[in-house]
Amino acid sequence: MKRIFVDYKKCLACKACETACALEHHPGGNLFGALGDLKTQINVRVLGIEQEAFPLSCRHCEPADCLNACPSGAISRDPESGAVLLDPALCKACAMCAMVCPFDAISFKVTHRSCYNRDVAYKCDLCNDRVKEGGVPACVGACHSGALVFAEYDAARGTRAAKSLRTYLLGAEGVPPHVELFRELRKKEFARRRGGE
Amino acid sequence: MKVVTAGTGMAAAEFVQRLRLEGFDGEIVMCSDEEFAPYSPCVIPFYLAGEPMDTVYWKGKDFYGRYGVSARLADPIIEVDAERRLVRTAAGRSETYDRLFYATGARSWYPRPEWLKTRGVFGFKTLTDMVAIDRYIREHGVRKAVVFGGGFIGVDAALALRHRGLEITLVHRNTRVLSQMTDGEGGEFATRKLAEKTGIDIRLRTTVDGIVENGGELSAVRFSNGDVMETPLLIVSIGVSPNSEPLRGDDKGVHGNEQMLADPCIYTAGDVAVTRHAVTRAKGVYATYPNAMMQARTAARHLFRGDGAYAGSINTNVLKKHIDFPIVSAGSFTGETVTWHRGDIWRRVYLLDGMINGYLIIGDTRISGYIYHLYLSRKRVDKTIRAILAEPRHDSYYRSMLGMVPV
Amino acid sequence: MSDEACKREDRRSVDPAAVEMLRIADREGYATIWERYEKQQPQCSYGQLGTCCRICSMGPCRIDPFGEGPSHGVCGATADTIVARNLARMAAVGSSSHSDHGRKVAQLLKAVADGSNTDYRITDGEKLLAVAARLDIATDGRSLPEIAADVAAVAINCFGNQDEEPLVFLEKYMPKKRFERLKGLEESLYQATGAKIGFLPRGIDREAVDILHRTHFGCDHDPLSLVAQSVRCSLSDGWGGSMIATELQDILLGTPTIKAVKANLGVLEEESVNVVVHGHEPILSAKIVEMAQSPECRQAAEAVGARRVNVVGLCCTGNEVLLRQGVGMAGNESHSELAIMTGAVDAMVVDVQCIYPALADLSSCFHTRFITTSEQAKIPGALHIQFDEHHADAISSRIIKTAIDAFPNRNKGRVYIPQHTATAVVGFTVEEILKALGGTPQPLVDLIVNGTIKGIAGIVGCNNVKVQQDYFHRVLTTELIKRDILVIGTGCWAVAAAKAGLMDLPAQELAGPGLQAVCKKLDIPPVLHMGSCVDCSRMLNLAGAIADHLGVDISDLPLVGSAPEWTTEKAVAIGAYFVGSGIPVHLWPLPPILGGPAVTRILTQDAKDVLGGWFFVEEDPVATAAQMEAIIMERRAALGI
Ligand SMILES: Cc1cc2nc3c(=O)[nH]c(=O)nc-3n(C[C@H](O)[C@H](O)[C@H](O)COP(=O)(O)OP(=O)(O)OC[C@H]3O[C@@H](n4cnc5c(N)ncnc54)[C@H](O)[C@@H]3O)c2cc1C
Ligand code: SF4
Ligand code: SF4
Repeated sequence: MKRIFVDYKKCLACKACETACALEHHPGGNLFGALGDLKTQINVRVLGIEQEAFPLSCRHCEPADCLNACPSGAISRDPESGAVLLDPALCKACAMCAMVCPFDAISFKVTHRSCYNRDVAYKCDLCNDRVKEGGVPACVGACHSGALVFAEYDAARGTRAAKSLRTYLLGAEGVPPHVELFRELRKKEFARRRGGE
Repeated sequence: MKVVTAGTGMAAAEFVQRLRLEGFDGEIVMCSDEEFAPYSPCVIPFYLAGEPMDTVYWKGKDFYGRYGVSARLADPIIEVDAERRLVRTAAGRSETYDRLFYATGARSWYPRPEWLKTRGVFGFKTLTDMVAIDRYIREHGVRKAVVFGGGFIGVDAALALRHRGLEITLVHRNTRVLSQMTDGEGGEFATRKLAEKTGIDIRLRTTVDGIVENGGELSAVRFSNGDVMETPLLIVSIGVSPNSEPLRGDDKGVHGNEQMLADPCIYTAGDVAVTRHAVTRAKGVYATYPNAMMQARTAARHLFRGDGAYAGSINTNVLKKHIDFPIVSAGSFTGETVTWHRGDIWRRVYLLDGMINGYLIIGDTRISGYIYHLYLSRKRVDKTIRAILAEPRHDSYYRSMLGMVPV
Repeated sequence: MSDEACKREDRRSVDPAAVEMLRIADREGYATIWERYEKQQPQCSYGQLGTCCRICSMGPCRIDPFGEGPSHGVCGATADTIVARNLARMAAVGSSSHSDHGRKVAQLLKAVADGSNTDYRITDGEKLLAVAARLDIATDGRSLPEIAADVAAVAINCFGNQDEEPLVFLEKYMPKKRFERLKGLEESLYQATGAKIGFLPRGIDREAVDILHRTHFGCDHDPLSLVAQSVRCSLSDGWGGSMIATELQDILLGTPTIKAVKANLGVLEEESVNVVVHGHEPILSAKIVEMAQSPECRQAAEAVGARRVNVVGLCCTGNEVLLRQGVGMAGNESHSELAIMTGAVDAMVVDVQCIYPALADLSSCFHTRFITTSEQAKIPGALHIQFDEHHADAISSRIIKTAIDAFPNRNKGRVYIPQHTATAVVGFTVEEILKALGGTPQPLVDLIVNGTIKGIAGIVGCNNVKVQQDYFHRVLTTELIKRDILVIGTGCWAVAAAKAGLMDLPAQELAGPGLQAVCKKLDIPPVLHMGSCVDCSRMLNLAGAIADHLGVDISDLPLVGSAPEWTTEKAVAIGAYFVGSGIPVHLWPLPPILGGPAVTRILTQDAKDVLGGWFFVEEDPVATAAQMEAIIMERRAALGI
């Protein structure tokens, strides 16, 4: 089964993944429909962590703390793709899941999938339909620079560190020299601002 | 092998589902005093708030049929005869078992049980309660309610009824609501914010001492300070007690060992079970769904495979239903405190021997998963916790994972 | 408070007044550039690398710097093309901003000369004669207005010149050797490549328009050609638009003279009506200062219980009135929000450039009237009082009246003025420097030759939220004077240096022994304030004066430039005209060029041989000072001194 892996050194914080995800999950499916629409659901968020950027989304853990915590039967696993899915029709926005998700991957708001005119929990669905048709998640498809990779989940990674982000990180190799310089200078800039000099 | 469950609640349903998924093909009988398919008490307030009844059946309305279960409903078990391995019900039936799964949960506790005779006074615990409250509100055009008891269930009730459009007065004996899942300062902050955000009239250091009825129907309640408030609806939610009498003869709960066995042939789980805390090892009733679920799974695995052990319960809880202002807590509120507060967000961790002993996170859930896992990990965090709580972008987990010390 | 203590105290600024105000901002929840910057994180690296192209509607296109994704835009543009085009556009915008400022001054001079504007006059006749002489305009037996009309005509023609000849202002002001080198360069490149590549600007407007044209979809894609045009356009600013602005403002408003002033938020007065002038064009701000002293304004202020109308400056319009009229300097760019937060500003009057639109919202939290005046800088939420040079007196009085009217609404309980000011001796125009030296650059040349002063560093630039406010300015300046390098400069750097006390006479003690002795003898600080950012032209003129005096090119002189804390496109233009004039320039933060390896190489290496000036990037101020010193030493060695 495949998962989304992150090569954060290659993340340029362009947020193309955020846009692609928003469109993928918007009923209109186009940018102009999603723009300014407060119900637009974005399941991936590019964090800025010092000089690094990091696209954050659900890791579809195995076992998944959220799934075990949901008292409403709203979270389930697709046996075929392994995706951890959240059914907004059953979700009661109780936050039992968000309370234990180690990755802060679950958010709440009124989305287009809300059924009862109130907020629901929402998170990455691994673009389950696309994936089951042989495609890749929208964010991975949108990432130009190779920061998001959809690859076979090697079980060894899982046992090494079942619930750690490290399981999902890839190490960038062969970063071109001009990018290396760029990264180095930015690192200095941030280090000084944060007082790390 | 014949398996009987006392109760068709969350623990029993998880237990039965697990058994069947594991491959158990023996006879299963599920007994309940209520008449429903297994439902989630956590969800039932939403029925009152106007959402469809079907969503309370968290494992499906067709549960009994799907899992090949004989259901004996609307007939409470009144006695468990462990010698003869049979249970007896109020209607005089009996059911033998090879293994009993005893998960009867808990019931509302009433200071004055006779109040319930008055129409308009309800508990807030079961689906039966919700159906009755709903009908009463509809039939009487109820616009306002008094909720007596500001614990988790009381606040849950108040928020659900408010969502339905009722004007709510919440009466609580303590100096703050949610007194069990908060400490003094955090609880007072949460109480203040709840009042601000919801407009619920919260009366602290107050109890309901008497009711006024009129032709068998509630017309007003009298508070401990002597005030009388007119209301057609009173919800009493000041506490619960385990339904352990049929097995143990008292309401002190049922002790389960590491395999969740209470007797050689009786498993127990859920709100009726007394278990050890995963961190403190203290014995107690840890009445939340995740504990009930893990206990039920432990029992199912042990019954079917003969192995496995329960790791212990965790007293995490979160209140967020019907409000965008989560209140998360776990552990015990003793030790050295580290607090961070900005605007709507208030966070406190209690440290003991450098490890997290308890925490209270109010206003958002963004770092709650990280703190939860740090709490369980028993790692020393005294050097970093301040920075973790204060990280303005709430991304301390990612910081630490990318090897950047939180600042 | 020492720099070190400040540095620990607040990572956002080393300025003690800023640190105090930020504490208030945090407490009250006022939004600031720093807070908005945090909210912007993470910022897109395509933009920072310069490899995002939004020029046509097949785009936007981005080039993957890791070589896995797309390496070309839809049209086929490479990373270098995209970077070079973006850079060229920055240079065009920066040049246009300075030059358009200059255009208005030239038009005003024309109107004063022909008598159609009577609100202004020729204040500095001597300067007019000097400029006319420089431009080979006859002066003998002619009236000042007549001469002024000719000067204005030459200046105005520089903007719209349509022939292929170099700009008149540039030709007359640029030292001979530099002019010849650029001309020779054009010829040799043509011979070598068969393609025309120009460095000498023809018309000020034309060079900017040229960039807009050649960066249009499907035109110039050659990084070298695009960089060359960026330099050419920037030279039309430095030796053209900015030069015109400086020289003609001196004629109209007076050439600044050396004077002592106060700098930092402490110049606001609790008991007075405080008017902060912010922006760049002194045509308005100088008038406001003048009108504030009028008896009517005085009386009106007293009538509302104020002591007086206290006009203070911010940014470069502040520098202009500071140098000419000696008003207090409230601060540099990052101080603009902080000033309003004192609750003591009754009106902030802005013209153009470097004005945060956030000031409108912030002002609305206070009684402060935020007044825009320029057709080119309108801000939603501001009160717009249209400025017009022909009715300058009336409009200025109206602005001051607005401030006086706001004064009674001031919430005294919210007023907090941090009591920090530093004394600064300012006003070192080329004229003043030469006067101090006895009328010729020779004594300065001697000092440089004998090594008492190793060289001169010109520092310009802004504040940038990515750098702790004033930190780079202060440390770099201090490090340079310690190394016996005379520091001159303009803009928000100058304000930073003034606030830090580096322009006060006691700062002589911070200088190395050689520089210290010279400063003591001449009774000047080791750090010289030459004016606003448009006045970087004064630095060119000083360099030019020395070069011509010695008969060498600027690129032979031990001069070096820096724009630490740079923010704006104007800084790109200044940097590029320094480089084009033969001066190496340090930049921090990173300019958006690293995504284009060829462009980076051209700007940081090839330019050294071709132009004698080049760019370099360094994050650490001490290391920057060391590099600047090394460059100066290398040039001294080449000169054999
Ligand atoms: C309003 C409300 C909101 C809640 N919200 C949350 C929440 O957000 N998160 C969370 O983790 N927990 C929540 N809980 C608690 C959670 O519902 C319980 O911890 C969980 O249901 C325990 O499962 P259980 O099977 O032990 O008990 P229950 O689910 O209560 O099931 C008990 C079963 O036993 C049956 N029974 C009782 N007595 C007898 C008898 N004598 N004979 C036969 N059958 C009997 C009952 O009919 C029922 O079927 C909430 C509870 C309530 C009431
Ligand atoms: S990352 Fe969070 S939401 Fe996703 S499966 Fe894991 S626990 Fe659940
Ligand atoms: S918020 Fe929704 S998905 Fe999460 S635990 Fe509650 S009901 Fe389940």
